[in-house]
Amino acid sequence: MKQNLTLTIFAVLAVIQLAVPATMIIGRETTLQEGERYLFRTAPVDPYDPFRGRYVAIRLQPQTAPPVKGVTLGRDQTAYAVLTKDDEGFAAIERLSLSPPDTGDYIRVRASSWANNTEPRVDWPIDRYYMDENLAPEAERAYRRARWDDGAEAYVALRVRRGNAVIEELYIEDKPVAEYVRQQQSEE
Amino acid sequence: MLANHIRWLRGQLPALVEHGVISAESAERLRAHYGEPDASERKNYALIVCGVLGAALIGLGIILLFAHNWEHLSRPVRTVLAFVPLLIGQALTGFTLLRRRDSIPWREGSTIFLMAGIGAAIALIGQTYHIPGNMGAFLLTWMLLSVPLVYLAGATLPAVFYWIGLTAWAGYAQDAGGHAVLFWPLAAIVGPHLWLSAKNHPYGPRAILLGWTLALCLCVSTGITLEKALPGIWIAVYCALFSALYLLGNVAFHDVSRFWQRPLHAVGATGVAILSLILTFGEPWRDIGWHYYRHGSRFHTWAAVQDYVLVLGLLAVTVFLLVRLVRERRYGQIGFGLAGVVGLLTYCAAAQGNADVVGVTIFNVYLFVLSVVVITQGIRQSQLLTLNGGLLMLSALVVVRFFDADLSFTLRGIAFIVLGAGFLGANLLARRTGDVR
Repeated sequence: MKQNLTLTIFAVLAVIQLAVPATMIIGRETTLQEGERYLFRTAPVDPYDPFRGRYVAIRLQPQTAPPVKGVTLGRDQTAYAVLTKDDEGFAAIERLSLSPPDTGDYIRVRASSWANNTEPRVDWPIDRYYMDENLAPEAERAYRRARWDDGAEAYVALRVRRGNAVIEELYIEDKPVAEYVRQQQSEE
Repeated sequence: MLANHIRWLRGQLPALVEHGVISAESAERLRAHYGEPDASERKNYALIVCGVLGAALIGLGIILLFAHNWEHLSRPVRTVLAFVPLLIGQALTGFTLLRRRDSIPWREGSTIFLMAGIGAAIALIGQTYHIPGNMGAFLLTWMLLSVPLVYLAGATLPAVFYWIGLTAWAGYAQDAGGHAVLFWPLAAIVGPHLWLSAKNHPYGPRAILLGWTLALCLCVSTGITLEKALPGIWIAVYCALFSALYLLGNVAFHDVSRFWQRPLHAVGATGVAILSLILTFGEPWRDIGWHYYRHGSRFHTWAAVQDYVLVLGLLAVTVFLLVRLVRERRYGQIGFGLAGVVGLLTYCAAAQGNADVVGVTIFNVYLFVLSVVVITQGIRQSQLLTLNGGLLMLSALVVVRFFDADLSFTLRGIAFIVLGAGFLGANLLARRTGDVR
């Protein structure tokens, strides 16, 4: 009897243990399959997350948004960045909304401003791109070298759906970052 | 009775019979009563260690195999592989609960493997989908999904790693500008397991391992979780914490004398000594008390209530245990136990004004008196560890005061020679006292 109860509780626990990573996947996979594609300019830096491996930290552009009329945002206030595309095809913020808009693509962000009518600072929910730990520092070096020598650009492709954003790929000079780094290594 | 004790007793019996202390029949009855020391006890420990190491190495090996080819795998394949260690761990634990419930190596090994698998699954999914970092949330989720294994399988290693993981979470939560008040109720989840282990086998490996983990995690987590809106409150809290640990170790676990078998006593005594030495300096006493209360955005007034609850709660435990020791006439152990009371009273007095003078003076006197008491105990009871511990405390106090004072090298040299001679003389005296007895 006691063993049956133990096994039942363990079975419930096992389902919960599977459900937690599964829920992390479901929403993001749907966003990747059905979301609209946006390109964001970025500048990669290379730190290290000891539990989850080597990644390239990315800082999405733009970092500011048009001010919200008549509203002074607090610090790290939840807001929704309504997206559009500029002339070069990169993502730009059309406006900030304090509630989920009814139309258009948007990403939930944290915004801060210090006075009325100043451009709020935007903190995007995307800050890293995981890579092979041997390639991550090389990616950063290759990017800095390319930017200094050739003015190369790095950008991230995101899929956006209902306020959620998932990274599809990080590009340097229009090539996926892993391919770009391997090419740089073979040319040296 | 521990196997070591039985082996010692059996080793003493021939000499006791030879010297006529006990008869041969009595010796035989003692042998029959205690039986052979459990020869399988050492073998079991080896099996447990090997089982856990084997499980950990297999898990790491699987992860390394994945990591080698990770970059070339598609996202769906990575997603599936992320679940593999978790599923294997669940299968092993399920098998253990069904068929190997009485085997400690299986229980400990399978649950540790599963615990690692949970963390690996969440981390690998996070890596696959480039999920933004929140180390605190990751640790908390991992620990909460693992802790039920402690009770389902009656395993101790998950409890140990749970406390360590929770301590790390508290650090990240506080560092991010939040608070970690929840650390205490979450840590208490494993409390019943500790209680049962200590009750059934107070000096067994489970209780000792849990005791050391708890004591060391408390040393770290107390400092992390304090909101510190009231400057200097850590002085009162840590004094009370160390004295409570020391007293609990003495009241509840006093049948053995080895340092490593009494974690609460060891950490408590060491903590009181080191903390008292630190408090003999003026720096910790600067700018403390209500006049310097912190109101910044990083300080949550309601979370600061936790600090006051900790002080009062730990002090209540200290006073309760002190009264018990006095009733049992175990006056020799009161010295370290008074640290909590001395700490709080000194803090209150120092916060009124001239904090560095008041605090420094009181703790210099307290540490000096405590050292002398410990040295005297060591000599009377011929306990060299106690004696030398007291001498070390006194020497440390004298040395730091000498470094404070503006004295010549000659005078300092003479003082150190006197101290060293004191060490040797006290040890000789203690040995002679033991020999006379």
